[in-house]
Amino acid sequence: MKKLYCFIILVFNINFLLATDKFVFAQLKYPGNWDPYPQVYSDILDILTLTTSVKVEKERKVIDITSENLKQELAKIPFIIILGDSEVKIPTKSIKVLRDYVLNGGTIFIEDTSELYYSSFDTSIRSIIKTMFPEYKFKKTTSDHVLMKSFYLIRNVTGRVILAPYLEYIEYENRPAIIYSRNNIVACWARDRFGKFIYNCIPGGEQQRFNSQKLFLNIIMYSLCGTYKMDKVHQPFIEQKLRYKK
Amino acid sequence: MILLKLSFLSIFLTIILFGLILIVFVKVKKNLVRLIRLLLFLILILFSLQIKYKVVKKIDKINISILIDTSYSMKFNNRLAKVNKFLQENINKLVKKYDLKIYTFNTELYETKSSSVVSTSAGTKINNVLDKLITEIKEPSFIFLFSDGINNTEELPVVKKENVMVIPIIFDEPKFQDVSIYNVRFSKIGFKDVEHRIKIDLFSYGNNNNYCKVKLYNLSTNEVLDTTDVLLKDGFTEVVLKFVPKLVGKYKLKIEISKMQNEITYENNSYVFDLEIKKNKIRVLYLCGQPSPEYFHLRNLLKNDPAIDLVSFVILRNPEDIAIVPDEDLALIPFPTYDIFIKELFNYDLVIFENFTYTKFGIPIQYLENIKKFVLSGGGFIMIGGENSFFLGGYKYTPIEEILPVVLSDKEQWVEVEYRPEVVDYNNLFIKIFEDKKENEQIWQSIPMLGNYQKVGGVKENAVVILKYKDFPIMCYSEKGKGRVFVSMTNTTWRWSLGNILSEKYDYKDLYTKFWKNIIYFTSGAEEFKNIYIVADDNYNIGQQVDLQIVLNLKEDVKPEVVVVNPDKTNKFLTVKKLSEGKYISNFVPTIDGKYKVSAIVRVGKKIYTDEKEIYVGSTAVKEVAMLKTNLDYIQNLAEFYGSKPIYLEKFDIEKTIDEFKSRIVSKEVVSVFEIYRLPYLVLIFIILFLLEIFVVRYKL
Repeated sequence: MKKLYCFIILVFNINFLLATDKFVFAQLKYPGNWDPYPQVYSDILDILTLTTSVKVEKERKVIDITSENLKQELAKIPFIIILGDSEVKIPTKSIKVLRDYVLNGGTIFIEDTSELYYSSFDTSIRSIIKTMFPEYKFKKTTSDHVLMKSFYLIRNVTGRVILAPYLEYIEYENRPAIIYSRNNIVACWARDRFGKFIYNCIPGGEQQRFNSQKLFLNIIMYSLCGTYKMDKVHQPFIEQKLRYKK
Repeated sequence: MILLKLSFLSIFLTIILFGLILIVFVKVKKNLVRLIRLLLFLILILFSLQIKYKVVKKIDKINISILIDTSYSMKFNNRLAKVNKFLQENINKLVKKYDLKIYTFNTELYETKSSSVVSTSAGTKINNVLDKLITEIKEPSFIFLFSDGINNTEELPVVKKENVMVIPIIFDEPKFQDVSIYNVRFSKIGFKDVEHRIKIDLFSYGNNNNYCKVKLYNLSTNEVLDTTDVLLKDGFTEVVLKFVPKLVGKYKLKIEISKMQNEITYENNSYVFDLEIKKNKIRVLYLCGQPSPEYFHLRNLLKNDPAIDLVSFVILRNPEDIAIVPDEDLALIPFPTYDIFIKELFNYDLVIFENFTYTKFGIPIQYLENIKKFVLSGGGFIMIGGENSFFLGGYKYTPIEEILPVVLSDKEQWVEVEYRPEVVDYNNLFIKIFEDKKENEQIWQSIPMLGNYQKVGGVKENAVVILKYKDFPIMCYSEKGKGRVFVSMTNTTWRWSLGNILSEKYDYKDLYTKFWKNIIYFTSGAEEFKNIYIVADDNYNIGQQVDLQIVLNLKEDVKPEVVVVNPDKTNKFLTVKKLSEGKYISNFVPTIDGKYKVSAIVRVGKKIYTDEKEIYVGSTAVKEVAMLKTNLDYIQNLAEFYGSKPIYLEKFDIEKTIDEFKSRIVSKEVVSVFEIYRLPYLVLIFIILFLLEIFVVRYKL
C-alpha cells in the first residue's frame, strides 16, 4: 500500500513537472487560513477548458511560501493566487522572492475573502505589497480596463459581495502585475457535494455570481494573454458590442 | 660636420701618441716622465673644466614662405584678388632680399612659382598643411599664412619649431553681410506617419533685427513641408522645421532661407539633403493558437520595444468550445483571415506563428502560398512549436513546409520533458549575447530548463542550428530567397525570463530579452543583422575622404572586397583593412562630383554576400560656404599657438613684420657646439699615457 502511495505521488509529481504551456492553478500557502475554498479550482478549470482554447493542468499546485524551494517552484509558474481572510505573514526573504517573481514577468492575484471593510488580511497584505513595491501604488480598474474585456465583456466588478466596485492593481512594465480583489470572487464558485452553490451572492443574486465568475475567468485569460484586448485591432469590435448591449 | 671634427682631433691625438712613442725610442728619457705627467694633467683639466669648442657660421638669407589659402571660401569678397595684388606689388623685392617660396593650399599643399593664384572648389585643412610645411621647411623661416581661417577640420596644427614663425594674414571686411545655413542636424532615417524634426543652425552677420523666412521643400513634389520666420541677430540661431512623412521611400529635401539685401553670396542660403522614410517601425504580425505563457512574455517584450509595432491575434476560443454567453458578451472578434493573408500581409516585416494551425479556421492552403511569397520577397517568418505547429499543425505538403529550415515528418511528436538545451556554436550571432566570452558560455550552460519540444524529422541542408537537445534541433534558422525563417521547437522560453529569480549571478531575463530581440530584428531584416553591410555617410564633398566601415555578420572570418564605381562609370578596388573581428575599414577620396556606388562583396565557399551603398559627392565643400565670415577665433588660436599675432592684409608691411619678429627666431649667427671633453679618444689616450708612465718609471727606461 505504501509503495502504491509513493507511486501515485511520483506520477502526480512527474505529471506536474511536465506542465509547460498549460495554465496551472497555483495557490500560495502561508501560515494562516490560506485555503478558504479548497475545491473551487476544479470547477474553474473545467469551465475554462469547456469555453476557451486554454489548455489546463488538471491538478492544483500549492506553493508553500516558507519552502526552501520557493524560487524553483515559482520559476515555472507564471501566475499565482493568494487567498485569505485573516492576517498574512510572509517572511521578508520570501517577499523579496515575490518581488523578483513579478519583476521577471510573474502575475499575482490576491483576494481578501473576509468580506470586511477593515480586515486583518487587507491591512497585512497592503503592508506586504508596500514592502514589496515601495515605488508603486495601487491603481483602480475602470470600465475600459483590460481585465474587463480580456475574454468576456464585463461592466461591473463584483464578487460574492461588492465591497469595492473595482479591482486594484500594481502596474509594472505597462501591465497589471499584482491584482487585488476585496469582493470574494472565488466564493462564487464554491459548491457543496451535491453541486449546489454554497454561498449566495449579495445583492445581485445569480446574475452577480455569473458576472463574478466571468470576471475570474477574465483574470485567468489576462494572465495568459496580457493586455492583448487593449490592442487597436479589437477596439472597434468591442466598442460596437458595448454599444449594442446598451 | 661634427664627424669631420672628430676625425680631425683623433688624427691629431694619434700623432701626439706616436710622437711620444718615438721619443721613448730615441731615448729622450730625462723629461719623458715629466712630459707624460704633464699631458695627463692637461687631460684631467679638460675633463674637469668641460671645455667646449664653438663653431660659428653666418646666415646669408632668411627663408620666407608665402602660404596662400585657395579653398572655395577665398573666392568671396575678392579675398584672393587682394592676395594677388599684394604678391604683384611685393614679390620682386622679396626675392632679392629673402629666400622666398610660394605655396598654395586647400586640403593639400602645392608649391607654385606663379604670383597670381586662383580659387579651387575644395575645402580647407589649415592644420594638416601647416604641419606638413613646418616639418619640411628650412630653418629659420617665416611663414605668412594668407587665409580667411575657415578650416574644415576645426583642429589646430600640432607641429611647431623654435626657428619657424607662422604669421596669419587676414582680411578686414567691415561691411560683411551674410545669412547662411551653418549646420543641419536630422536623423537620416524617419518613419511613415511619425513627425520628423530637422534642426538648422543659421549663421547671420550684418542683418541684425531683420526677419528671414526658412522653408523646407520636398524637391520631388515641389511641396513646401514647413516654413518659419526667424529674427536675425549676429551669430548663430537654431531653427526647427518638422513634417510628417506620408509615404515610404527616399525623399530629396531642400532647406531655403530668404535672400537678404547685400549678402556676400546666396550660395549658402539653401541646403539639399536626402532622407529615407521607412515603414512605421518593425511591423510584426503574431498569430497564436492558444493563450500561453510564451505568448504573454513575448508579447510583453515586443510591446515594450518602441521600435516594434505589434499586431497580434490569439485564438481564445476554438470552434468546438462551448459558448455560455451570447456573442455580444464576448470580447472576441472574427479572425480576419482575408485581411491577414491577402490584404495586409505585405505591410508587415515579420509574421510569427505560435502553436497556430490554419486547418481549424477555414484558411485555404492558397493563403499559405502568400506567406511563402512574403518570405521569398524579403519578409521574416517565425514558427514557435506546440501541438498545432509543424507537422502536427498540418503544415506538411503546404508552401510553409518549403520555407521551413526543418524537415516535417509524420512521426513528429510533441514531447514534454525538462531539459537544458545545448548550444551548438557560442560564436553564433544569437548566442553571443554578452561581451565576456566566458560569462556568455556560463550563462548558457546554467540557463533555466525548458519544458517541451517538437521532435521534428531533422534539419534541412542550409539550416543553422543554434540550440539542440540530444540530436534534435531546438532552434534553427535559414535564409529563403530574400527572407529569413526562424523556428523554435519549444514554447517554454518564457522560463528563461521567469527563471531569473533563480540566479543572483546571471541575468536570465536580460538574456531572454536580448535573445528574442535579436531574432525579431534578424528575421525582420534589420540592417544590423544583414550578413554584410556598409556604414558611411550619404553626402560628401570633392576632396573630402569617404570613410567606409564594412560590418560582417558571418561565422567565417573573411576579408571583403570593396569596389567603388565613380560617377564616370570607372571602377576602383579599394584597400581594405581589418579593424576588429567582423569589422573592416576602407576609404577613398572623391575627385569629381556625382553619385558614387560602393559595393562590398564577401565570398564564403560558393555563397556570395553583397551590400551596396550610394554616396553623393557635391562640387563644393559645404563647410566652406556655411559661414563665410573670417573665422577670427580660429586665426587667433593659431597665432597664439605659434606665438605670433594675426595681421590684416590691408595694413600688412612684410618687411616691418620680419624686422619685428626676426629676433624671436634667429640671431645673426648660428652656433654649433663641439664638446672636447666628451671625446672617447681622450679617455683612451689618458689610459695609454697612464700605463706608459708606469712602464717608464718601473723599468727605468
